[in-house]
Amino acid sequence: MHEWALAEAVVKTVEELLSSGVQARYVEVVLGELQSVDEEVFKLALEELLSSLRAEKGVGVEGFRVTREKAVFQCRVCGHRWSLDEWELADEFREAVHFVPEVVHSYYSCPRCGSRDFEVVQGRGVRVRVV
Amino acid sequence: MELDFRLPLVLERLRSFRLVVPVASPKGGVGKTTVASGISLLLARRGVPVSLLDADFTNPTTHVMLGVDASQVLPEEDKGVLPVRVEPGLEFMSPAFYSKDKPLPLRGRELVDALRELLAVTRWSGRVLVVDTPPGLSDSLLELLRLERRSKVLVVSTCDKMSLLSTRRILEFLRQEGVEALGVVANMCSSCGKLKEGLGSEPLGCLPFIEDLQALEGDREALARTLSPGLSGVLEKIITLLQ
Repeated sequence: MHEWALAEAVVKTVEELLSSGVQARYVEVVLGELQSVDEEVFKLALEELLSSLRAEKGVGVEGFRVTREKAVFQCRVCGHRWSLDEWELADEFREAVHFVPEVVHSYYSCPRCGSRDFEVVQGRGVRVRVV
Repeated sequence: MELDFRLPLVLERLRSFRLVVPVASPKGGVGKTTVASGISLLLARRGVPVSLLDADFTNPTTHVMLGVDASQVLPEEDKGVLPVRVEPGLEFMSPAFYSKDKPLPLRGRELVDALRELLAVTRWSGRVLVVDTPPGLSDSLLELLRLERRSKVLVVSTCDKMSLLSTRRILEFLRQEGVEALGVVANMCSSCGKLKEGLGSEPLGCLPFIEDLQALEGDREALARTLSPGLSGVLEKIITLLQ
């Protein structure tokens, strides 16, 4: 359950911020489409870990919100921009990309010119904001 | 406030190691992968739990030296990912498990992202983390030294003028950064005295030119047997630091 490690990293960050005196009430988590994080599993892990943090360390936030972000790519060679609608991840590669999103460069290339030298403009993986 | 949520967990995982040893050199082809694999195997066989990371994301090859078929392995998931057990006492993680030996062209920011991701999700259990780094003052090496300032870098050098000049540069860089060098391994040298002359200090290890290095690739028994005498000084120093 890789989602557990991602949720653990989020909670560790919240704990560090709160213990350093930062005022944080909500955690906003953005799940990038490329990493294919299982939202339900991730939310369950986050709930459980935030409860443990409150119970064990006496600190916590009022809640969290999870949103999704579409993945967008741009070729550094020809400038073409595309999304996963144009370039669906095959199941056999999805798991590898789930763990290390950058390996998308090993399996795919620009649909226009064929170069692997492209940028993941948005929607790579997990991003966190505290408010 | 937006932040890299992986860093606190990465730092906690790195702090769980007694010692972090990046194996580095400013030049390619001097034997970093051979030395990183050798010290990892030999330490593990002397009872030290070792974690080994191949941080050469764009050209990972440590698995070849260890005889691990990356195309057939995907690290097990368990609240993160568990490194692959190569033999008792030696666990191993490589980007090759995910890129499956295909080309992986990454630029600076992407490479740092991939390294942080792997360091955040991998659940190590070793006492020593040995890291095989790409040639030069690479993004992987710089990021690792930024994350773990207590790292002790093992520099690998051949004895020709170009390599000695490059080695002096990396040692100067480490001094300026306040990062300790574990020492220098002289590799493929007819006489290790040349390295002492060139650097002004004794090498910690000294390996001769191995005529049939290809025969060692993937044969851990032969690798351990061949490298053991030349790397004994490195092992002793690491074991002393762990006490």
